[in-house]
Amino acid sequence: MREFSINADNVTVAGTTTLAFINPPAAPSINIQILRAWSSFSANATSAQQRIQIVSQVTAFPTLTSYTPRKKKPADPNASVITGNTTGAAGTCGINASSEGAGTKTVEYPDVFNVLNGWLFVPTPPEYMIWPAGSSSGLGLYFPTAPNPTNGWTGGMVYAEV
Amino acid sequence: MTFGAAEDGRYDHKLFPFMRRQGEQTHVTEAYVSVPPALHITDSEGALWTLGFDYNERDWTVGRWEYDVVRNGAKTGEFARTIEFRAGKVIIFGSDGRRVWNGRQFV
Repeated sequence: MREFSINADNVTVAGTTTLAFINPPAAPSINIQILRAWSSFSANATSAQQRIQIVSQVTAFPTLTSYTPRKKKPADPNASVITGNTTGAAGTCGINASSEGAGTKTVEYPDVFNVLNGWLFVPTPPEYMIWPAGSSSGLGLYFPTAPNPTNGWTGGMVYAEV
Repeated sequence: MTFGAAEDGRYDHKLFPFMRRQGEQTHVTEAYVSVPPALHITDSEGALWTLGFDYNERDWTVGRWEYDVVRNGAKTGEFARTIEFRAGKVIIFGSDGRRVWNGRQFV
């Protein structure tokens, strides 16, 4: 199995924001299996609650900051099939959306966390989300309510190509 | 093969900044906070605890995997399903049962 991560490190978000987004490639190709997602906050030490969701979104996709997936196995000679891009199109990924796009979001996994403790989603194997090649939607890590403050946010997803 | 960590057992903090203390956060985590769903625990020594990306499959037949227990971005050599902060102590739960951090190791 080949694993990669998409990381948004200490970013300032626009408000209700997609922190990380990945869209499987056109078929036939690899499928995307989400192994882990996380978020944390470092701008201050004030206790506060923050909603977070893993969502699927159809086109139009968010406008993102391009991010090249990082290998989790340094000896892996190959880069991910997923490439960094700002458009959120099939086969691409990005972080920290500046615009959410008009595509409908469907909540796949909603949660709330205390910003001092951060949030970690580690599905057991039967719970893995596997988004197939050729899917009409991508997967996003999304703040459905605007964080306050908007700076100091970290988050990301680890995925496997299966 | 480790998963995201170097040969010395330390994770890349540029890749995973949440594995070290960030910015102004100097609090001690409240009691009964558990990882997951929390991302990390800060104990009274200021150490930051989380689960890493390396795993074992001892309980995989019942759908439960364990991940490496990480302290300040470095592997402790232990695996667990959850890390909990209770009565000022860091406690891990896994296929080896309940173990408590005594300041040097889990017993």
